[in-house]
Order: sequence, then C-alpha cells, then structure tokens
Amino acid sequence: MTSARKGFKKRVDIVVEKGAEELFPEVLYKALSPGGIWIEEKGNDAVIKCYPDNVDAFLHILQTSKMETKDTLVVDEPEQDYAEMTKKYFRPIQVEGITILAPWNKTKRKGIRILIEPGMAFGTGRHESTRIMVKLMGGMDMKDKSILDIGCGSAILSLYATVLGAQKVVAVDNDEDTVLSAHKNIDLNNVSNIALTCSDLQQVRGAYDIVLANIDIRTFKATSAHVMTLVKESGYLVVSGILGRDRKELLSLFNSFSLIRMEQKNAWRGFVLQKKNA
Amino acid sequence: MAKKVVALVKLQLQAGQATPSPPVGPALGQHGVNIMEFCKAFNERTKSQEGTIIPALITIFSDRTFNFITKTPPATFLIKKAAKLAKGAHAPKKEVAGSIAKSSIKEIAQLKMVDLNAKDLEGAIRIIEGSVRSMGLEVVEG
Repeated sequence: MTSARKGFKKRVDIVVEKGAEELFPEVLYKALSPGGIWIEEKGNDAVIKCYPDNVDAFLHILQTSKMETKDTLVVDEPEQDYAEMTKKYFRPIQVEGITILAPWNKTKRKGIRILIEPGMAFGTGRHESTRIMVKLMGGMDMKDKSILDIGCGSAILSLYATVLGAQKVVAVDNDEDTVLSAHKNIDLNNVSNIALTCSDLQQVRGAYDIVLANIDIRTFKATSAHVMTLVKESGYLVVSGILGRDRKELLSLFNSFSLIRMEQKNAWRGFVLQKKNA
Repeated sequence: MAKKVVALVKLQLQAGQATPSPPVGPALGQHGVNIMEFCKAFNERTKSQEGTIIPALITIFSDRTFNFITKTPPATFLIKKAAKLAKGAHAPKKEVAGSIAKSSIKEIAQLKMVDLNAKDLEGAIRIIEGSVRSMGLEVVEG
C-alpha cells in the first residue's frame, strides 16, 4: 500500500507544533536517506516533510519515538530530476543584445556573451535593475575608462564594462559569499582587468571616470556623500535598484550632479548622473 | 543590489552531506534556484560539524539568487552530546537512558537562546529540560 507509484516518491508530512522540529529525533533522521528534513511553517504549526526510503518502517519508528505529532500524512510527490530543473530555469537570455549564459548552456547565438554561474550573488540578468544598468551602460563611452562597480554581486556589470572596452574595473562587494561567486564568474569569462575586493563601501577610496551602483535607496541614503567623492570631475554615476516612488529622494541625494538620462522597467528606475566641475 | 525576497525555505540537514535529492531538491527546485550551488556552499560551511544536523534558513531573491544562514544544531543533538549518549531511551517513560547535569542544560539553553522562542534564559532552560525528559534522561545536580 505504501509503495510509491511509478514516477512518484512517497513523502511523509508530519504536522507538529511550531518549533517542535527542533526535537525531531535522530532515529528518524537515520531512517531518511540522505538525512534531512524540510520544514514549512503554517500559523502555529510546522509541517515536517520527510522522504524515507521505507515508509512503513519510518512510520513505525515515528510511532515508537514518542514525538508529539498533530497529524501525519503520506503524500505521492512526482519525482523530478532536480539538477535538470535548475538548468531549465537558467536558459540563455538576451539583455540589450548580449547573451547571458550559465556554464551548462549551449547557444548558437552570435555576438557578445557573458557567462554567469547563478548562485549566491545577485545579478543573473533576470532582474529589472540589472537590465536597466546594462541598457544605461550600453549608451556610454567606456573605452579606456576607469570603472568602479559598487555592490558588484555576480560581477555581471563589471564583465559588461570590460566588453565595452573599459581599461580597468574595480569591483567591490561587502558579502564574502558574493565575492567568491564573482571570482568564479570573472574566471569563467577569462577576464584579467577586473580587480575584485570584499570591502564595505565606506572603505573604498579613489576617483573613477564611471561609478556603477546597482544598490538600493537605503544604502544610498547612508552613503551618498561618500559615493560622490568616488566620481572624478565630469565623471558619471550610473545608478539602479531604485523604485519609482524613491526617484525624487534619490535625485535629491545627488542634487549636485546633473541628470543625463533616466530609464525604467516596470516599477524600477535607473539614472545616469554627471558630476559638475568644481 | 536591488534584492527582493520571494521565499524563505527552512531545512535541517546533515552537516557536510547536502545533495540535490529530496528534501533539498523539491524545497529549492520549486523556486528555481541553483540547487548544486546551495549544496556546495552548505557542505563547505558545515564541514567542520559533520555528524550533526544543521538547520539552514534559505532566502530566495527575485532574480533566483539566494543566501542562507545556518543555525545551532537542534537541541536533541546537543543533549545527546552532553549526556555522552549514542541515542535516547527506547521507552522514555519507563527506562532511564542516562543523565545530564543541570549546568549542561544551562549551557545548551544559552547556546540555543538565539533560535528558541523563549522570553528569557529560564524559559529556554524549561524547553531544554522538556526535551531531556522526553528522551528518557534524568537531570542531576552539577
């Protein structure tokens, strides 16, 4: 009765009081292969989802374990190839004429390609704010320019800047996992003129021809004065990650800069601002 | 980064042993994140704690990237370690499987405070004592 239908896997859902998943006994973990549970919280309850090899044996251990349960359900779940599932979600995409690929993708498309391994770093080309940045950058002259990419995420924008001919790119992010992902992406694309560092924005020094900042309004509010010092005179600041409702606030933070261009996609806005000569 | 959270997923996994099969596959697959990347990062981060179960809370963002935090091992594992037990009692209410010192309970409660739904240390101690009893252990002074 408890053997799974073809193409389905048996899942046991155990409903317990929220927090009781902490008390899930080791004998039950051992009856799962590989040992692990998935917890979904629903109001004051938690549903512990288990995938045992032998459902009958597992239910027997559960009964004798004295774990306090509210309900137990056995569910048929369609079996899937989860690694393939990931690949299905990350097919090549086109952003402003550039093809963004994952390492497992193949494409016959010609033209510029950027390889990005989707993972723990923001910037897969699938978010409006990234697309806005790519569009704004495409309209700028980056040849032989010095570029700073703050909050670089996957390094997608730094990589695009090198495609556009930037001489040197400094990419900074304050998250260690993100910097590791960015490193991998820079290697995947065989690019040698991006200098990557894990650092807080406030620690970043120097002045650049173009500063790329796909961040968020809160960070800008806290750091706008410092960000302005990072732009050379007559240099540009390219901003994204701003919602329409925060447009005015963003522009007032940088009111000493001139607004050159604005772009929008859905609720998101992006701007090119130019630093005036002193 | 214009991050927008689209989902939170909670898993409890063997340290250093995450694979794309269930529960990781279906839990993360439905949100379309790179499952192998999660497994690699989780295993790397927890490799020094092999032999324990580590709760992980995964935050998934709108462009299918993710982040996660790991928490302290569940109470039962910490209790067993402190009581130097391989497992709890077979019949917890009839048989005593071992003993645990009050001071160890306090230590576990302090460690678990961050993750427990307890108002203060006393409350956390009571929760841990409850687990201790349900495992068939007795509490001893010390």
